[in-house]
Amino acid sequence: MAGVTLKGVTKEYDNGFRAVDDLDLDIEDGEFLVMVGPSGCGKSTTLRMIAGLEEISEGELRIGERLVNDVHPKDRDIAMVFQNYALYPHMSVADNIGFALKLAKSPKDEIAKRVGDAARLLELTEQLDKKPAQLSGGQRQRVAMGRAIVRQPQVFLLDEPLSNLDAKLRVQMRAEITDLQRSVGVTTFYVTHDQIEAMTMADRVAVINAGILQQVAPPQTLFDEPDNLFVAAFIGSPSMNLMEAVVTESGGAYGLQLGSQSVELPASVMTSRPALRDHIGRTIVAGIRPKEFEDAAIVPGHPAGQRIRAKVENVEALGYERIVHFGLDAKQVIQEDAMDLKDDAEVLQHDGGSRIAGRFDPASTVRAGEDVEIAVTSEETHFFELETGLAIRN
Amino acid sequence: MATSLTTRQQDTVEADPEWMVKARRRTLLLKLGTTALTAGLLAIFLMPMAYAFVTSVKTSEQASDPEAPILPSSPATFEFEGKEYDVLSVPIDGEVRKLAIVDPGRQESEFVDPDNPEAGTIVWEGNWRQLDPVRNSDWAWGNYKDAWDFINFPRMLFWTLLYAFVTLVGSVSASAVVAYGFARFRFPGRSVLFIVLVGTIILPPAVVLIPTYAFFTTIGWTGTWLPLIVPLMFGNAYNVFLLRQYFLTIPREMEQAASVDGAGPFRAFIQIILPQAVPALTAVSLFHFFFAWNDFFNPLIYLAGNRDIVPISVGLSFFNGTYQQNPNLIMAAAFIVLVIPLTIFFFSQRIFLSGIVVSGADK
Repeated sequence: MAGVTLKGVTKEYDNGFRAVDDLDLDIEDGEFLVMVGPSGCGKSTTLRMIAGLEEISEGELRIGERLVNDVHPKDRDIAMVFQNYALYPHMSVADNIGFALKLAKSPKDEIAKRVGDAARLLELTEQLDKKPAQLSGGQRQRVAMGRAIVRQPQVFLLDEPLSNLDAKLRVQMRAEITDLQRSVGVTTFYVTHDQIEAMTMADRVAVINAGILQQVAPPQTLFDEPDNLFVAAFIGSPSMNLMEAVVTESGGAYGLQLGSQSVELPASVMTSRPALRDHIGRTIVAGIRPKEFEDAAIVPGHPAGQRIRAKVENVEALGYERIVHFGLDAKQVIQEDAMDLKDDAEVLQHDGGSRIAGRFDPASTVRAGEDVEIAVTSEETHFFELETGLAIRN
Repeated sequence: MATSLTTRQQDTVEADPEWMVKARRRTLLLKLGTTALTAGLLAIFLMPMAYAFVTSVKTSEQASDPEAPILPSSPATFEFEGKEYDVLSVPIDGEVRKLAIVDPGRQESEFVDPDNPEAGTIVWEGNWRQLDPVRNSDWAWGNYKDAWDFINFPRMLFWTLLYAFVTLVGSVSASAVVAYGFARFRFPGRSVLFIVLVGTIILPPAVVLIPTYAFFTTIGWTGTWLPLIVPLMFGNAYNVFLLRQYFLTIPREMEQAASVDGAGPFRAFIQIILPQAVPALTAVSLFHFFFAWNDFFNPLIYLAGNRDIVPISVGLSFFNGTYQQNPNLIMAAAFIVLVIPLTIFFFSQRIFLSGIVVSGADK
């Protein structure tokens, strides 16, 4: 097994379009790295460059220590799972799985053994004689996985392998692929547009947008410490609420001015983000996750300075929680390219104001149209520069 | 739950039969109409073939007798006391009997009952010339043997099959390779070359006939099979077009998966793409086979003067000239020629039609 290193990797097409721009990425040996981003962001192109199906315009690609820029796919020692599985329809499941071994001129009994092992691992033993057309979506997906693992390659490449499955099967296969990767321990590069897949499966997630890598980090870090507005808006559902705000200081106490209302900022916010001091009095972007809002009636002990009043516009009762949408008169900041991806994207820009989503306890009784008091856990606020969109931390 | 649902459905069927019966009747009428129309059209199309078949099993006399009935038959005769007598349909005592006329007369004639000749003669009053002769069904299957023997079928069949199969393998392989190239590989001038290639389909054969004939004469190939076989080894624009369209419908991921699995472009083509293109390849092969089987003009001009190596199509026309007076033999020969392609078509019909759909109108 080996890691994969991309150094300054660029893909520029004949028409000058740069699908991937100066990408630096280290996939460690045995790591499960998921690349996530909107359609056309360059994630599949990156995967295809690693596979050797797409030429690299600039930069270096190494698998292990070996420079593989000009190495044919078959000599890269990789295995790939395609979005549509690309199973050979005229071959049986066993032949599909064993095709690579056959081409590698492995002995027949060796092929039979390894195909059998892979089939047992993937619960495909009963299906070995069937043709792909006779299989269900999930089984086809498993055959595609079988074709990859039977080779015992250095690297697995998976290109949106779950996007053709229904929601329930997707959840199941997500777990199966993760377990499989852990058990075989092969370096895995997985591409998806689904942030849930990215967050649940990956050791680390690489967020990419418009061919430019935005951030690479473990899922929780990505959620807790997004490097920029794109990542902040992209990771998490419902999305982080992003609005223009001003950090104020008066007599050693700090506050966050959100439109006409102000919320206290605990001193810890300033100590953990020293750079924020330089932005006092300037318009910045404040990002508050929906979970940081709560119906004030539910948390009576919440500090009085960390409350706002707002008019509830809509309530989505999900049983285990209530997603409450309310309006604020702070100017909303919209990351459209990130929002486009959201299943629940509601890019409704208010005239001059923001539409905020909060996750309330199911015990909350707020109703649409009511003017309510909302508790804000302001120490969890994220801050970004308005001009560059970069996180203000230290 | 399910049971009660079924019961309710049944109730509904019984409860409001009127509109349903009407609708069913309308559907039935529509189906009957369509079937009748199809059968009628089919009959029109099959009529020449039926005529040819019926003629092929007639004797020469029947075939050249304009009065002869449609189905092959000959006048019935009966041997009585060492002589042959015609059998006629005679109306006696309110019934029509088949009797052999032994003594024809103007006012009355004498007959013998072929079923009971010992009973002696029967006298019938009337003009025997007004009686219809009895005809027995008489299928001259021997025509097929005669035709087979007359024109040396095995030799012509050999040349025809040789021509058909050699060019089939060559043309379809070459077309598949070229089509795959056009479908998958990027190279400078690809579009222009493809348009030029497809353009040759529209070129009338008469335009290229004289230049190609002159060319083959110059290099001394006329009188041999070479000018017929060699050009087809380079593929055929029509086949290339059909196969390219089919290859385009196969996802590129197939080759990419194969290439990740360790296959080079040629192996991917042979082991992954071609097996998936079987319907299109079959269609193209059959098209080619029928073309070669029926090809008359090219063998006629290029093999001119060498009667020992002509294919069936040309041989049949020679046969036509020789046996102009025996349409039955000509038809029998034509049917023998028809049997092989027809058999092939029946056995491969399904693949053939699906190939046409996929490579033609469907995509």
